Amino acid sequence: MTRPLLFVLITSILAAAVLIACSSPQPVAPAQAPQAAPAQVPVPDAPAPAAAQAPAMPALPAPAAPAAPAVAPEATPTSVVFIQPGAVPTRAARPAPAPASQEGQSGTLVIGESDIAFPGTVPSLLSCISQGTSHRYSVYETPKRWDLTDPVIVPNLGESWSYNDAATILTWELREGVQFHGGWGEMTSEDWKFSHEDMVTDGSIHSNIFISKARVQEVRAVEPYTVQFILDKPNIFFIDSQFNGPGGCGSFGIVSKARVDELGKEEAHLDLSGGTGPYRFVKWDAGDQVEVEAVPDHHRKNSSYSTIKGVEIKEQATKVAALAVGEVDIAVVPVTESERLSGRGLDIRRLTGGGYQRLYPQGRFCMQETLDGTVVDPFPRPGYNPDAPWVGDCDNEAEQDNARKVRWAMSMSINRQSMVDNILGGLGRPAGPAEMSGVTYEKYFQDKWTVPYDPEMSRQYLSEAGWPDGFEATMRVTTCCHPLEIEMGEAIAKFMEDVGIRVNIEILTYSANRPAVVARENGDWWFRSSGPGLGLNPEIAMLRRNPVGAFNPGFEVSRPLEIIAEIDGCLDADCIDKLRERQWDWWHEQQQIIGVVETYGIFAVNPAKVGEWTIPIGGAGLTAFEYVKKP
Amino acid sequence: MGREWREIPESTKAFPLNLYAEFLQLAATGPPGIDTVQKFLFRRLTAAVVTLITVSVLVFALARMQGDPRTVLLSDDTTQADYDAWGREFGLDKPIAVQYLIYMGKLVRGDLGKSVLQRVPVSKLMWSRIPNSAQLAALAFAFSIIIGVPLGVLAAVTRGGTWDYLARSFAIIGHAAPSFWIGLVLIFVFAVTLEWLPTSRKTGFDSMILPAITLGWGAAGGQLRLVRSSMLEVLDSEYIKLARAKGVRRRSVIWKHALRNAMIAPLTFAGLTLAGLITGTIVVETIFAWPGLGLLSIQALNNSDYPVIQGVILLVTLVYVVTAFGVDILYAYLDPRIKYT
Repeated sequence: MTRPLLFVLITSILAAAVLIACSSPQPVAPAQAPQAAPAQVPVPDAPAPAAAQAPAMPALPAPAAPAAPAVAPEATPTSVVFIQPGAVPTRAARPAPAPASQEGQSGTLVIGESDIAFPGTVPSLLSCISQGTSHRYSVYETPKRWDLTDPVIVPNLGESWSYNDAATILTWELREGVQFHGGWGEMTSEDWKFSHEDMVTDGSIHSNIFISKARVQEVRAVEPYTVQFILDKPNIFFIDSQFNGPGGCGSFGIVSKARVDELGKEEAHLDLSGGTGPYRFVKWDAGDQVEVEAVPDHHRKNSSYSTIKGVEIKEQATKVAALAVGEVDIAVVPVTESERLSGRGLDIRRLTGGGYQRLYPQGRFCMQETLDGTVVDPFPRPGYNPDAPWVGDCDNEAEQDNARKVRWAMSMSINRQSMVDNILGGLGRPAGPAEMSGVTYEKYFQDKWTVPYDPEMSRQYLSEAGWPDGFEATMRVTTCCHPLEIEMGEAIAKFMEDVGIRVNIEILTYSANRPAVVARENGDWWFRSSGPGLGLNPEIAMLRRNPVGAFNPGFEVSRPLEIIAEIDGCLDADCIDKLRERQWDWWHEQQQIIGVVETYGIFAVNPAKVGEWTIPIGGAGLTAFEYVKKP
Repeated sequence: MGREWREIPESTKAFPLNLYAEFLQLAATGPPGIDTVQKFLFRRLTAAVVTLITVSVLVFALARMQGDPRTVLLSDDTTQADYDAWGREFGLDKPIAVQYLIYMGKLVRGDLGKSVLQRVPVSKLMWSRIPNSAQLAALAFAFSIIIGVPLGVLAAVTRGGTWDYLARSFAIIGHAAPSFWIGLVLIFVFAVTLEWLPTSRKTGFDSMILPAITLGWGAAGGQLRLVRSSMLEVLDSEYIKLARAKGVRRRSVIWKHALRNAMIAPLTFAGLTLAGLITGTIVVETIFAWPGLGLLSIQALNNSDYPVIQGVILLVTLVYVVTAFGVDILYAYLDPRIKYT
């Protein structure tokens, strides 16, 4: 009898020992971090949510005369599209290279990454993932870039740009003396021409080429340092395809023509040279690590650190451990770890931009043809379900209005502030309408677009729409970009349940869901998260390409596209801003994209190695390591 | 010569059913004129080939069921023309049966295809990861044998004693606790709290210790329990009692007479464990950011990089088949009573 007892005792002691070790609260300072922990986590407070007394569901039709933007301070640019065709040509002063820190270029900075993707170097062969890697490590540069502190784009590899009076010819004057990594010579207009033509060539998988491909008739290398882009008609958004964004995916990087000519596309794609950025590749092993070294006397910025090493650690807990012991100097961390890591002497900082978490009520596929008359094929879409309460018959006005009421009921049932407070720990804010986040939110948000939390009104709308007892719905929660996306999805389901909508949750990865998205097969709901990003306007983002683009948010309706088409014809910022407001009015009225919360990304740094570091607006994550200053 | 399978009258043959029957018969008996060992080898090799072909069909079909990789890789701007162009380049525009035949045609020439994402040969990607997984598996395997076998013997000879209970507790934890949990606990204790070892990644020999223990603990527990039960059975047998009665030294009885005869079952387990350690490291490699095959397969799955997924799974199958084959041969070496039939 005593032996079995002894057995149980020993097993219990071992298990208890492991559990005690697991829950031990004793912190250990990182290897090179100071012992003193900061008193508070220096994460900026979430901006106060917009006015609590928000309007209820607006009546259709959309307001004819849009009001002036409420947020239009003179200190900020008038538009996220920062160039207007026909405007006075700009010739920016050529910024002098910033001096390196006093210690010179030395030392290694280690970045903990969730994914070290294959970088790739030939424009037409670059998937979005590959572009992100090259952008993140500043190996390639674009004609323009985001300014460090203001949401404006400034010249980068170009020195200046100008449009002709008809706004159909964009002329670039190039920066002289820029050398390609690997001894591929000096950058000239021929490299620009090649980079653009290869980017938009048939079969290219490069992102953000939609406008370039549709509008650019020709690229002319006029002089060695002058290049012209000939457009078929004015398009103010064309220029957006030439900067380092959006978010690194879709950037128009200038690469060496000579390198591709000599090596051929396939070999050049695997070659590491040919960039112009402040870092050049030393080695990469996709899925493991990437290493770049600083280029001395770079034309734009000299890095403080001589080597930047990115290491892939997928598991969040392991990444946090690596940060804690000083194996990694910088990493994005879950908000739930901020206090623990700051207690270990690490600095917690906030990423620029916010992650937009939204709910797509899918299935409203109402477009039989695009605005230019292209027939949508197949039609009706497989995901079209007129019986779904949030969809309705496309041709029945009464049903469409009832469906709109249902979407409003869904939206008003969500207590966004509670989610911010209780799930995100205050690191977020209630979301603006239709993909409005980050810089865009700061610039354009108006109180009238706030959706109040009002369960009573929600039930009333359901009743008016013919669903007094609620209904049942399936919500796909895709995982990819935020550690709390499942919790947020569950909270939404609970709020819906309180007004009578019974939600079945299906959890799957973003990539597993995407094929059905592309095929327009989904008629249920989709709760989708995204990581910190710039927060592009809908007229620039993928909503512009609906329904002809690959991505689709689960609906195809013509009105927002008509407004975008009007914006394309604008020749001044005032026109753009007015139409933009009209567009967001429409999104707000329709609740076709239900903005839930905007989450702030945070990252931890080892204060012994990272001092001041300004990540450019639009950086969308950890990037621009050339701006890291040593403490 | 003159076996029944050759005597099926031509007139009664109905293609392809009889051809299939002939194949089965050939696989079961082997071609005429070979001895027993050759017959055994022939049969096992045939089974291995059939297994590999079956797995290739399954993997090929499942990889496509996961979705067209173009929907993940191509950008939001992709037009139908670009979509079709990519389909032609990677053969995705053809019927799936044709795609499979093309794939098999390349496979028999040793061409596993190119990674859709990286555009480099799958074999090159795999070869860059195999040494890492093999090193980790070897250390984990060594851990499982070095810890599992002696502790199993110790538990058997001290049956019901303190050492027995301690050893069995070790085995139960290894079996019951999931490897991701063990890994995180080890990182917390030995890397974060004690700072004896690195948390993750392949940086040197010391970086292999925690993932190897995590990977090998469950195998060590299984090995321990098998050795213990086999040893208990053998220690109760007549010839052991006779040896003891004749005054053979205890150490000799245990390690020479008993252990060798008790190793048949553990050996089978060890062989399959080794295969599992090489190929089943997805969780451990993810936790410890170990750049091996497991991590490669996760990355391939996330990106719908189906050529890589197929290559890794085929390799896994091959490792299992070869290991099981090797274990079968070792049986006869260890126990002469086992005959090839």
